[in-house]
Amino acid sequence: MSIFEKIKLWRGVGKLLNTNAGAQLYAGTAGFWNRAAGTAAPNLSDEIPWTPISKPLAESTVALISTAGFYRDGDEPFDMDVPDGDPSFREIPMAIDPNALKIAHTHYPNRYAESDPNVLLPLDHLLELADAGVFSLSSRLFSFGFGGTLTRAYLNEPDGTAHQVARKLKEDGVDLALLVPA
Amino acid sequence: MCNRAGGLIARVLESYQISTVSLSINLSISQRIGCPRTVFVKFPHGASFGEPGGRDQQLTVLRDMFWALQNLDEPGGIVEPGYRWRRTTYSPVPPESFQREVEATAETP
Repeated sequence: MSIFEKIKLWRGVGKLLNTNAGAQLYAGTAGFWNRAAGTAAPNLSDEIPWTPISKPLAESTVALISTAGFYRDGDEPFDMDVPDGDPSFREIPMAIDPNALKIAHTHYPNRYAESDPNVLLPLDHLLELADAGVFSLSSRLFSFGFGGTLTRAYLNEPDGTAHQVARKLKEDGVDLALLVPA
Repeated sequence: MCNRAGGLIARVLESYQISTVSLSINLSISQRIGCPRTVFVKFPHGASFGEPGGRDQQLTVLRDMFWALQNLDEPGGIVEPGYRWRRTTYSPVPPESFQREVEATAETP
């Protein structure tokens, strides 16, 4: 068995366990496997896009972007059977009943968020802070699923899904975006 | 998981004049991707803001994200508060502390 086959096997074991240890094991071998497959995360750190803060927090509109696989009950789940990942996104109202949230993401233990969605989607806290006048809150959040090794599906112009979401955020007048992984 | 996708999305949003901050539980991926602003916590996958029911902990991490948004002034900046899973004690986080100039700290016994 080659080293790459061994890595693939252990990654499979990690996925199957669907526990924190499994997820850590899966994440821990991701770099090796991605390099072997030629799909490592691009090294983009030399040129980092940057928008400075332009106004006080109290005058800013905030949006939440999750990559934890949340979707609204009744919407189409993310496709976890695509090995490279599913680059699509779902729109979710910020004021959603947490009981109407579902998760389609098998590469991290879902049990924390099933117990308290605020560990990945801090909806309660953001709504409270908006009520207190700390900032304005966009009425919808955008949820992505397992991104795997995908890059161009997010970044390609004009229809990469990151561009699609960026345009929707601009429609919503969003100034600040919080990105939260799982 | 999916620190990678979040970083890629953040980069695109910045190019649309949206300021971003990315929570990260995998610092090497966030650095490789070139996240514009990062708050790194050593929490387990699936619990990025902390423990279920841990209101003070979750709000502390959320406040750190807003601290990073308002105080980091160079692309690629990283805030690493150093919280320890189930070992750091968190104080209540009043809404006023989300404004600029509030330090990102927690009490560690």
